[in-house]
Amino acid sequence: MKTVIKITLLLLVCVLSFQTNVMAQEYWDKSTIDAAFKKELIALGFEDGKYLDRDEYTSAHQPYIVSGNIIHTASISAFGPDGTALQGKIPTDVSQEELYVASRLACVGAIHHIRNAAGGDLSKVRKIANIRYLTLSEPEYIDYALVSNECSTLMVRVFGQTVGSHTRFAVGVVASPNNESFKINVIAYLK
Amino acid sequence: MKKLFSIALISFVTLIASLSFAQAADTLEDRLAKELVRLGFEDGKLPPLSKAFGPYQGYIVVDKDIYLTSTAAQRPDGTWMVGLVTDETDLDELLYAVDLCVISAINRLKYAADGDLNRIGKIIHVNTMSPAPADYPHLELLADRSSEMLIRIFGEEIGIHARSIMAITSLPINMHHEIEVRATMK
Repeated sequence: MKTVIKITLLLLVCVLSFQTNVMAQEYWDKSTIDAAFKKELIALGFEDGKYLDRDEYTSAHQPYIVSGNIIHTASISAFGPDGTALQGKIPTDVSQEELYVASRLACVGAIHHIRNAAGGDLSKVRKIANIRYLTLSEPEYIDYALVSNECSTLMVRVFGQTVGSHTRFAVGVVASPNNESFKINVIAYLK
Repeated sequence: MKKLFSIALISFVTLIASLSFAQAADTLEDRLAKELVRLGFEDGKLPPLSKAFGPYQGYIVVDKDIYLTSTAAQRPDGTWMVGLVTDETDLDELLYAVDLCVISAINRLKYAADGDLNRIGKIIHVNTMSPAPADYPHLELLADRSSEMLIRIFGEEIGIHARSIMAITSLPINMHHEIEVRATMK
C-alpha cells in the first residue's frame, strides 16, 4: 500500500513539474493577443482599438525591415489618436505622467509595425528580443526605468511572458527629430 | 650512467609536464579570474547576478543570438557607481567603472551560455554609453578600455567586435557608465 502511495506521489510530482514547464513556455494564440492589443489601444483613446497608420515613411525610410526571421523597427514615435506626438524635454517641458502615456503610445506603435511585419498575425512573433528607449531629457533627470517599465509591462500584457519579456536599454538624449520626447526601437523574432 | 640517464629523463618529463600545465592554465576562466582579482573580486569569481530593476530580462537567447540588457558598474561590495561624467571626473575611476561594466556583461553572457563562457562564439557589438558633456574628450578611451578587456579575456578571434560610442544626457538611476553587448553562441 505504501509503495502505491509513493508511486502516485512521484507521478503527481512529475505531472506538476511538467505542467510548470509548459507554463514557462506559453505561446498565446492570435485571438488572445489581438484582444489584449485592442484593449491597450482603446485604453489609450484609439477609436475601435484601431491604430492610425501615418503616411510618413519613404522608400529610404521604412517603419520596419524583416531579414530572415528578424524584425528591426525604425525609431517609433509616440503618436496619439490625434496624430500628434509629445514634444519637449523632461523635466522642463514635459512631466513624468505625460511620458508614461508617450511610452505606451510608442509601444503600441511598435506592436502595430511588428504586426505588419508579421503579415498581420501577431501570434507569428516568437520573441521580443530587445527594446531601446530614447528619452529627450536634461542631465539631472534619471527616472528612465519608470518610463521604460510602462512599455515593458505593456509588451508582456499583449504577448505574454514567454514572447513579450525582453532585454532593454534606456538612455537620455540631447536632441531628437521634431523635438519629440520619446522614441523606441524594437528587435523581434518571427517563428 | 644509468642513474644519470634516468635523472635526465625524469627532469625532462617534469619540464614537459610543467610546460603543458602552464599552457592549460591559460584558459578563458583563468584569464577572467585574473581580471576579477585585479578589479577587487578577491576570490576571482563572478559575483551573483544583480536583480533586474523592472519587468525585463538581463539576457535573452534566440537561436544563437544573445541580447543583453545594458550593464552598469557594480562594485565588488554590490554598490553601484553613480554620477554624471564631467571634465573633473577622475579618469582612473571612470575606467574602473568601464571594467566593472564589462565584468557585469560577461556575468550575463555566462548565464546566457548555460554557465560555460567557452560556448560564446563571437562578441558581435559593444555599445558604450557615457553620461558625459558634449565636448568630453575621452570617449574613445572609454570604449577602447572595454574593447581591450573583452579581447584580453575572449582572445582576438572571438573577442574582437563592432562598436559604437555615445555621450548621452544621463542614465537610469544616475549610473556612471553603461555598455550594451551583443554576442552569438558557437
